[in-house]
Amino acid sequence: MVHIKMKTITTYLLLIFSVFTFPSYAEECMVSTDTRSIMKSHPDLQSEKIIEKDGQYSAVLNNGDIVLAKFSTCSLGMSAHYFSVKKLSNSELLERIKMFLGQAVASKDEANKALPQLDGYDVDKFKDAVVLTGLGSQHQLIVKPSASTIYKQHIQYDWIPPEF
Amino acid sequence: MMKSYILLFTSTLLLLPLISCADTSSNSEVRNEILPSGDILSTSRTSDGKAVASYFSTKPAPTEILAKRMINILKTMGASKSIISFTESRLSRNRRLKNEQFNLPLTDDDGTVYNFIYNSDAQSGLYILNYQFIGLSKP
Repeated sequence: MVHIKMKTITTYLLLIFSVFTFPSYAEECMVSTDTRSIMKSHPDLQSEKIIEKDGQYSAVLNNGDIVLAKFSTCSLGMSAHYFSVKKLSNSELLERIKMFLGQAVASKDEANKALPQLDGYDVDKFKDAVVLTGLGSQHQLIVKPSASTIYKQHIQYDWIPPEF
Repeated sequence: MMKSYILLFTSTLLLLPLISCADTSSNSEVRNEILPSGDILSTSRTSDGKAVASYFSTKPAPTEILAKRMINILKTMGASKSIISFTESRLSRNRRLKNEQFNLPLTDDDGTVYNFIYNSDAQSGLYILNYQFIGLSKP
């Protein structure tokens, strides 16, 4: 008798447990992009902040320039912005784009494949999106007029992940 | 005793140019603060010494949050008490704050104008609020 009672209780407990856990499985995302520091190896990094739950990354450099990035928390993707206080000349801009791309791309091999494609690039072309090919994914760069009154230039980088 | 006072006086005199130098160089300097939300507040001065600020966020903000952001900028930038109390009581009800882009000049009791420009770029995921101290409005 006691044995049957124990069995019934266990079945009930299991039922309650599965009801409570099921929705969390349903809500879970199939993939997400890890929020990471983009500028940590930059010599002029002054301060940075990572907020994992929002996929948010912010950094401030010693020269006043800033970086903001958003990592997709429920898919693969990342968008990063570099704001320059100084109006950069064409050669400075190309150098800055290279530096930013080198920092923002997650893997070294991927960056090594994409970066040389920028050599001798006509800076004017960045007014429209420039797409570089990596090992698996693509990397999009665009130079925009800055919407901030303090910053002169805005470089936007978008990681285009490989399609499965 | 007298000697030490003279020494202090002369050393202060010697240091004065350095202090003023530091002041002028900080005029064009940009100061940045990363807030607990991850948003960035940048403050600076224009070449003619007027205070400017830019608030960067990667999320769109509801009207009340945007109003709070604007009041905080006014406080940080040392705006007048009258404009701060005016915005604290009325700004969140301003319909223009509901727009994705807006230009909102605010005038205090003495006729001093403070201007806000809001720029939403949903495609890029960037929301930038600009502040400019304009000064006395011309009659």
